Amino acid sequence: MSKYYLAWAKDEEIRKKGANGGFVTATLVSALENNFIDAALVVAKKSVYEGIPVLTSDPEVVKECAGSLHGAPINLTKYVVDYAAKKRIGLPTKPCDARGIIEQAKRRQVNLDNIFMIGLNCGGTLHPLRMREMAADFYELDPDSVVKEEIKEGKIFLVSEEEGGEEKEKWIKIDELEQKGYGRRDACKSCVTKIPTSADLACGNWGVPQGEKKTFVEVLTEKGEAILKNAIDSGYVDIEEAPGKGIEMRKKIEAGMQKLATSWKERMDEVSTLSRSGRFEFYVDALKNCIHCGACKEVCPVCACEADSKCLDMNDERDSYAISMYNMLRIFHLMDSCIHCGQCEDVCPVDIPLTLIQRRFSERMQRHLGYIPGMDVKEKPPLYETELRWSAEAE
Amino acid sequence: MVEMKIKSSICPGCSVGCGLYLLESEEGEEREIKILHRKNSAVNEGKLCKFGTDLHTYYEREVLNNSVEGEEVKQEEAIREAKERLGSIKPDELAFIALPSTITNEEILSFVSLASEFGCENVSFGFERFFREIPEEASYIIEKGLSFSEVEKATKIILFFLDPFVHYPLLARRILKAKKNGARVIEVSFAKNERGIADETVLVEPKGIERIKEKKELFEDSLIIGELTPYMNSQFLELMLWINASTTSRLFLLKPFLNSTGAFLLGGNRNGKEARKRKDLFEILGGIEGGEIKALYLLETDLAGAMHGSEELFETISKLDLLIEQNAFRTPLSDVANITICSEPFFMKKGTLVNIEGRVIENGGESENNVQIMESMGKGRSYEEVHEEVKRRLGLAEISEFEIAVKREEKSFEMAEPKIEIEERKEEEGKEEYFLWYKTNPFFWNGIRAKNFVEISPAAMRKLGLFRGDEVEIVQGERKERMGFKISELPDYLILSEAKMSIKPLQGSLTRVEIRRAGE
Amino acid sequence: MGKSEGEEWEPKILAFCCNWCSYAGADAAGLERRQVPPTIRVIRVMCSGRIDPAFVLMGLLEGADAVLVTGCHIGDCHYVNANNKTRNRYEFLKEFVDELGLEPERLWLRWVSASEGPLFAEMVREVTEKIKKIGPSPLRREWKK
Repeated sequence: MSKYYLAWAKDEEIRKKGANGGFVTATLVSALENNFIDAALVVAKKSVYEGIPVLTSDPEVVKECAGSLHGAPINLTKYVVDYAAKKRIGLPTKPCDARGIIEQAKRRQVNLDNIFMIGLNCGGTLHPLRMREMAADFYELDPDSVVKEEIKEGKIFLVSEEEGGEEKEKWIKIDELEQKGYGRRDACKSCVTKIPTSADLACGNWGVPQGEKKTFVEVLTEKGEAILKNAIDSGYVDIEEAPGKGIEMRKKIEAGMQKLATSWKERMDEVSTLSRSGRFEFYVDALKNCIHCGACKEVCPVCACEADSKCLDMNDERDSYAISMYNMLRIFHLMDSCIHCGQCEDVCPVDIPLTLIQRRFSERMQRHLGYIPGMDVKEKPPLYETELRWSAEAE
Repeated sequence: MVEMKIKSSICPGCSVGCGLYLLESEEGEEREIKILHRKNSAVNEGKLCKFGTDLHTYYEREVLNNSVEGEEVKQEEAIREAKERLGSIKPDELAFIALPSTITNEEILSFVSLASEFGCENVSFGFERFFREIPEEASYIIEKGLSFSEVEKATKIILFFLDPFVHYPLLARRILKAKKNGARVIEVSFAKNERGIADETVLVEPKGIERIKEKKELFEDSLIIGELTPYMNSQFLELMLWINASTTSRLFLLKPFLNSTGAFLLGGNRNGKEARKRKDLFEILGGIEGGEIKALYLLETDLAGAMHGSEELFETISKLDLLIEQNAFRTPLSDVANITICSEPFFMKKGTLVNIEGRVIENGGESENNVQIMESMGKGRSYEEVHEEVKRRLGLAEISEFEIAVKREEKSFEMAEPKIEIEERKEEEGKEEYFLWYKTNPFFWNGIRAKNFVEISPAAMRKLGLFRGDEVEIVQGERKERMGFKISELPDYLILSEAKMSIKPLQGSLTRVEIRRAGE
Repeated sequence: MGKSEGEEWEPKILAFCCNWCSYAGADAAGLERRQVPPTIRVIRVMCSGRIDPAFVLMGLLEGADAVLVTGCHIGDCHYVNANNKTRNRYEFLKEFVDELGLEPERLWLRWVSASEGPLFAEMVREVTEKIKKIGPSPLRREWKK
């Protein structure tokens, strides 16, 4: 069913403001105007370091939110669940947003029929405060003067506004920054899902001929086809067949990034070199700092439990366990379903390396199960299955 | 139509001042609040402790009415009545109290000007006594804190009776970072930190606090981190200052109230001799008890919530001729107040605050109502005028959370060697003696009991014959509390509590108690 | 409590037994006067499918040196197929225990029917021996006297 197109917004202004020809913005605006969706969930840019999710039915608000924002590592899943579960909505989704929403649909928290996911290819996001430090220490810019950022061709571009309104662009190779501990978030560096294949459309600039302000669009579902058709029919968007060379190019870029991600994953896994007892000590040592604030569960795009969840309910603070029941159960329950988005680590008040811990436990289980969470809504989480699901690879 | 409005705000839990987002939705009459993480917050990167993540319960409390003598009235009338009645009382019989948790800089200026409008000098932000009892050159230590990046850069950190994970949870990660950077962490405490954050523990017994003075070399070239609360006994503060003065160390004291720094800088605590004469919280209560103070104005302060047991407090308060409470939420005292004035909850306020690091941070609300309430009884300035004065007095051209706007200048000062008077632990035959140590935390000061258990030593558990699920009774004279228990690696005599109980701490946060197994 | 001087350390093994098969099996072992090591503590459940993985984890945190999950043979479940769920969850627990850094011998799954008393006794002996070799669980907390 997959179809590849190059697409762009016909509206001059949207085209200018949007990242790659404004296709995503134009699609959402047209869907809103034609009542194709009730509301759009977009991220409003406060500065290059801050974005705030907005649920709106006003096309003008959507237009204002055009453009990419790498410095706001938000996962939209829980916003959809909490505020838009009963609405027909459209939203741009990074691969981890799309995967989170699929997992919530499996747990019957949302109805996928009502959600139009305009997927965005994603090379990764940056932590806003690391980005500020990066701007000051590496780009030698006043962090507050940075007005634009972009990631392309393996480089991070920062554009600052100098006195008198003049814009100045500087770039540094991502790899160089990341060797020094800056650049993308740890979860992003090691993420291999670069194209949101579980969304309805997958959009990005990979595979777009150089110099052209267009979006490479892959149509992944019937819903995707419908929302794209709506955008074309209402005159917001123009498309052309993607050239074969572009399709190849996009695949190549994806493969290259996945390779890099895998190598980062190995490099960042400080547990892999430890012995069995070393591993035990590492986990006990890391998790003993937990203050049981519950934030990791709250933000987890996979977790669909309420305040009476098992991990909270069975955790008695009077226990003096080496690892608390809360942590044991959270790790256990995510073994089949963790999508490695790193939201938990972002909000952990005592900086527990949760991305690494959750990844260590879940990746081996998922490999054995032959199961990748967040991809296919028809595949139930294996922990809920009656029959054992065991991949051929594990045998 | 925008259907989801997210505001940025600050956590009122303690002086760290964590940034957060708050999403308000109204379902019928009920206010529903959701707390989200603001990752671009300079103070905390969006990370929050349990108090912060649970902040919605704090905001979802019952809202206070405007009332006069129990009867609901319009706000203007409550204000008019308050002004009239305050005017009829002699200035030295008046007192104003504000524990600055949810009070912006602008409100502090308006509050002080409101008091001065009625000629009153008794304005307490909770800490006045300390300013009076220490050398003036040392007052910068009470007034101003240090930036957390200084903590991360420190090479030797002394945790002075402080468990960062409990007292100020968002400080803990800074200390962990310092450790990663190679810092040596030493704790001076009654008990070893259960998370083992310290590389070295200097255990002291209550009677042994004196002996810390002999270990001066321990503190050389260090950053000493402790806390200052209104309950603390002055000798303890003097001890910290003496150690600081007689070694090459720096002293960083955290406080329980969000805008303490703003209150010290703008509330005029130490400027001028008159200000230094001001009574503090407990002295004002003493004054009411003695009949010298007849009227009290409480600004967003849940006095009962901040005290250990409210019976005595209610008795004291009943001696007042006039009690006015201006607050967003109903409190035990607002029920007996003569006049209540309903102000906007903190997250709706427009205004600035100064956190313990000296960052001036803006709260994301739009309401100027709280300043207006006080200004309409006082000087009558607009919010903008008050805000300009805040900027002028703090020396700010622009407000940015990414700057440490209020920096402290370290001064040397002389301190007389303090004498710590803590009753010796008697080791009588047949009678076990226990000390209760309160580990204060953001829940502690807001009238919320976060935990319903105390921590005891394995030895105490055995002696008391306790089994899992049992409860203990902690007794101090007439006061009794029934609590669950948890076993921790503690000295035999020590009981730790993160929950505020009716049992009063007699010496700082430490007090002698009895404990027994609670019957059915 | 840890071992006292001169005494051989006895492991503590927590066994979950299903009402219909393995508990009856344990009973049969007793009736036949088979020697079952005293290291075992049995919790009877109506079905092995009732054993939430959380129970196993809690058992380990409480200081059990090994946890033994037992139930009816596959196909013999009193509740149609609930022991299939047990098998599924056990695979998760196995991976979890291994990744956590505990020895794989601290977790067991065995099917025991009501008539397999000798097998039950043999199994407890086997587990006890293995655990004696690897020593106490690192999750067990010892308190200073």
